[in-house]
Amino acid sequence: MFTLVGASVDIPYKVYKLLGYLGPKLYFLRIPKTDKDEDASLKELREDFGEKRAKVEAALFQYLKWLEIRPDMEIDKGSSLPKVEWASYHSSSNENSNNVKDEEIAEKYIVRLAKLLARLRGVALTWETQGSQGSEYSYTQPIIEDPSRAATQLQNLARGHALLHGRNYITKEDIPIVVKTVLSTGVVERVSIFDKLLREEGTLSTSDIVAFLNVSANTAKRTMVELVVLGLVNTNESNEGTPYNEQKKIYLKDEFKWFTTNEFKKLREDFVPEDNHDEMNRGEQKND
Amino acid sequence: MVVFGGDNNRGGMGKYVEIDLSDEIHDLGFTKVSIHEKNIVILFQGKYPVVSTFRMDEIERTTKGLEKKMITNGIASESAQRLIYFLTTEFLGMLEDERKRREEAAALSSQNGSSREADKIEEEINKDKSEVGKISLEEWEKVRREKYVMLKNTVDSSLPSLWLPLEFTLSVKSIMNIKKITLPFAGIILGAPSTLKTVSLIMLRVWPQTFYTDSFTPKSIVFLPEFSMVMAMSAILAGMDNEATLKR
Repeated sequence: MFTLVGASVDIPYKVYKLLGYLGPKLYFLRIPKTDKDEDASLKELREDFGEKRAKVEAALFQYLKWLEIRPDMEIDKGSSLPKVEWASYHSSSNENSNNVKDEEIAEKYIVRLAKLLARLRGVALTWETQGSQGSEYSYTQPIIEDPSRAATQLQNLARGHALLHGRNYITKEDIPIVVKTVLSTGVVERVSIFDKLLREEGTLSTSDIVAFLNVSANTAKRTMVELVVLGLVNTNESNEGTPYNEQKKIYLKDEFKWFTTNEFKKLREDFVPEDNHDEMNRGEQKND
Repeated sequence: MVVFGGDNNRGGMGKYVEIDLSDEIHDLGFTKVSIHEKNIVILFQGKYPVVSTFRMDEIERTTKGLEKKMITNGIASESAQRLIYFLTTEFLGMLEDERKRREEAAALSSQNGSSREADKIEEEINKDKSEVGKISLEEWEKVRREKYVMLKNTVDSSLPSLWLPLEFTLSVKSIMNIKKITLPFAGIILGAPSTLKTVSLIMLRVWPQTFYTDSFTPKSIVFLPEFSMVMAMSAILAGMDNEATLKR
């Protein structure tokens, strides 16, 4: 058993596509860029980064050391690591159980997030099937993971977060880190359309996507087909437009409507995953 | 083929080293090329040995001096040049080997340093444990809250944008402290340059039972074929987008 954390600017599209075919999955966290005002930048310039880092490191180590002397932690014989029993593992017959366990609502959120993640990082191949105008698209059977393993992984992440906050049970407080991870792990363009769908109360037309992504109508239609194939949205032909300016609409499926609620909005804490492909490509060009 | 000495040889080899000659170089009449400390010695059929100054950190000067001496000793200019070409390639290979050796030694030294710091942290944890003695979970929680507030305030006042990657890193790390979790978790922090994405990782490099590396090459993927997750991660961190690499 191990856990890993790495850091990179972004992932090349080709690699991301390949990750879809791998059994074990990676989970990402996209850090938003901070736009500092002049005063903040000036303050930063005058301070010593090394000193600040040392201060943080000292406080961090003090905290981590205290976490490790938690009274109910026991040294695991196999790994020599201090480990804690999870509250929900206690059986009801266990007299030592304090009857505290993972909040059911938090667990439900994790299940919903895992289902969304399966769609947001699924693999869907689409291609033009009608003439050079490409008004119709075909697709292969999409590869959408069973969300159960993702749910377990996200639950483990939430548990890690809970333990960091002194709890051996999950509450709603542990969901924001899971939300940010799910929104960062999905294909970034797909997540941005999903966000647009949430802002538009679950409905988007071809022209909305054309304007939002700054792409041609055919590219927008292809994107719409991809979302339909992945099972994130339904579609039906709109009566709007002429045969030469055909409009389609997509509708967020009912099972994902919870994501349009204020509850989800609160849990995401205004988090918007950052797309760093431009920075990554600039870096690659510099290295060339 | 070659063994480099310690770090105090000031550009020389520090030991006796014999260079394996190719058939082509043998056919030209060269029988042996060896390096003795700061001298390079060339043996050529029917000629006196050529001895010239050898400095690994000054290949150009070494080869020019050697070529001049070979020609002075009556070795044909074309043969001398072909040997110089051969030796330059050998020297560059030796330099590359030395660079790798130094890198590996530095990594090992850094790992040993981290290990010493990890031991120290473990000692401190044990000391804290014995000093605190038996306390209730409630008492422990009270102190934890204080320490948490201190950490959060320190990050907010010093490096506010560090909080999100730090919280993610610590959450992933904490998974290891939960009984019965057996599913490995791999997370990657993605961020534009200078967004402090690696700071939280670097801070934890000295923490007990933590391995830190920033050296990712295709080799690290070959060595870990059983962990496709690690392979994928290594590929991303090595900046590779080669399909074959991932499918290997």
